[in-house]
Amino acid sequence: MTTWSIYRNSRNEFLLHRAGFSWLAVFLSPVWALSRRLYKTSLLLAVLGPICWSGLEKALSHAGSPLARSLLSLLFLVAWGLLAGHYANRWHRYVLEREGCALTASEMPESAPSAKR
Amino acid sequence: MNAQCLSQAYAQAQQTFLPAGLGSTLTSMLVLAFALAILAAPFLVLTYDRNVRRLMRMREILPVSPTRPKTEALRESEALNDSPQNSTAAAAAGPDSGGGAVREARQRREQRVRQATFAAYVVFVALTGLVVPLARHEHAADRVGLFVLSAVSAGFPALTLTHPQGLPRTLLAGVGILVAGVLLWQVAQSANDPDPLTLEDALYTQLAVAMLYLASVHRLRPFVLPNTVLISLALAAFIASMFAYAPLMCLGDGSTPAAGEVGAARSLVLTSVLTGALVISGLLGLKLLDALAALQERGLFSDVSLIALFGVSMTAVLATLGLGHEPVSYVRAALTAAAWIGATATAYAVAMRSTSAPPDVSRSLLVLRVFSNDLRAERLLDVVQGRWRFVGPVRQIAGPDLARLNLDLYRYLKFATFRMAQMFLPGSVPAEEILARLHRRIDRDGRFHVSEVFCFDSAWRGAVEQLVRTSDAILLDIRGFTRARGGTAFEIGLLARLDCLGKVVAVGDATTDWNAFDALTHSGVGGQVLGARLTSGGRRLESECFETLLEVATNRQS
Repeated sequence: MTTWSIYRNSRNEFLLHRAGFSWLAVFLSPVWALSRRLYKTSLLLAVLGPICWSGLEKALSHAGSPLARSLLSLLFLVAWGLLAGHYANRWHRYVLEREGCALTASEMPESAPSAKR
Repeated sequence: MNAQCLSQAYAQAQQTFLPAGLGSTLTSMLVLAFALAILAAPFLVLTYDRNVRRLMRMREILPVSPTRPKTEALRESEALNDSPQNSTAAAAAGPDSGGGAVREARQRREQRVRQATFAAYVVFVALTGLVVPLARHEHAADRVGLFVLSAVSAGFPALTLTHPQGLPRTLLAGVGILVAGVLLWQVAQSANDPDPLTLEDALYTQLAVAMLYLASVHRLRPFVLPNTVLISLALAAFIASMFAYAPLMCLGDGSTPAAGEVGAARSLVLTSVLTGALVISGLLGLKLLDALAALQERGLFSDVSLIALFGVSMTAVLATLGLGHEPVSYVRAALTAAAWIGATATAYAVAMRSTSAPPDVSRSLLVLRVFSNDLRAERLLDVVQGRWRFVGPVRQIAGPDLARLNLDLYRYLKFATFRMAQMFLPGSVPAEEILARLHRRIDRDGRFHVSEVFCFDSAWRGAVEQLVRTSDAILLDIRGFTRARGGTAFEIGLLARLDCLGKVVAVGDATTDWNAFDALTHSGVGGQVLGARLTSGGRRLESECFETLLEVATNRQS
């Protein structure tokens, strides 16, 4: 379960931060970065992904059987996805804090009485 | 790389992505985007609801400085609402601010919309009558079927304009049976034709009519138009990027396009081209929707009219495809559809302009309720706000129960660009900021806006107080209210403390704890009388509620 919080930047805009694992980053990390307005990160991920994939294809092209190559490729993809999902929102918070954004609001638990309307 | 290789590469791309020509691909893309937009809508509704719910649970930790610069939304709102002619307060203070004038204005606004819709519908059906004889179909039954189905489908947007509160289920069931009957009759009539209409064709046609219903009438409708725009552009970008990539197939020896393995470098370029095209199409789509949202915010048309125009447009496009000319001339088909849509929209605008504008008076309505997922509550509020938009602006604190019903393009854009948090009030803010968020303008087609104020948990109490003070009538739906509902109890207590019970129409039912309600209302200023108290259960609750609210609003001001 992710926890949401709101940061405020120098232009007084609210920026949503979701702490925890990100499934969007697992499957579409450049889109995840775009959704957080991390444009440089998005560009980097969009370029880095195909480069790594191509490099891996080349490295594996002479190694082992097709089955082993497929398994290693799958392993790479899963590891890449899990790393992206685990670190994506931490990276976002790091960027927000580095840019001087202030934590403005955080989420209350669902059971809080005042939320009952 | 040589010219021969290039032309071969483009020919391959054309064969793969434009097998039946550009017109056919564009048309298929539009229909596919329309279908995908409808399929995606329920998931987007769920995501939107969940986001609203979670943002409403936010609590401000660090108060925003009171001297902060005005937000973009505030500046825009001030500019939009500056016109004194449309201010509710100004109108209420005018010489014609009596109850009679309000009722007359409401009737004339509704009548204008009905007349204009009727004129537009007649023009659409008349044009259908002119166009259908041009159809390829040899059998008269096919032509009759096409005419009936087009007329029925165009009826959906028309009913959306005249009955924004929704349509009776019996009517919808009747329409479904009529469409199915016409299609079965067509199948039976064409059984002996060399090219008969099969049951499969009939099923697809029924599906197309159902899609038009979902886009125009169903509660998913606010999502369908923007989804269609974004998905169409994304599909177009995909095909364009495939053509942009074609020259790269001639890299290497350059004599023939490369086949099979694309290689590392080409894979990188292909991914980059595709990503770039999708990003550009996304930005273009959002800009287009932003421009439409700006026009809507300025009152050129209402959200209801925009949805109706979209419904008419898709009906015309699908009906034009149903004409089935072979070989298909897509330029002719596009011109036919454009003329069809243009003439219908022009008829609506001309009919709207030909009747005199109603008196400039209005009354505002505030909707307070127990947040619930009860469909009866949703229905009541939907009906009342749909009708009240001809009386004056409707205001409410946004909640997960109604948020998706009132989704307009501006909010869709915030949602699609992951900026929903910017719509929310964080904590106690000046009254002017809350009031500036409320639209007081009337659209050119005679509808006022529904203004939802989105608040974090730390902001809604202050916002409700400002809204209560400035509204002419208040609908308080307390079905399901108990002492445990702390938020609703606060609102009831606030109404009593501010001496505003006189403009409240309370709607309750068997699940309402009336003792708790009475205890809260008696805690305020002595001698206050509740505007009216209605009990849910009757079949005409919506109408009764609307009429009582109108009476309360007009009696207090006249």
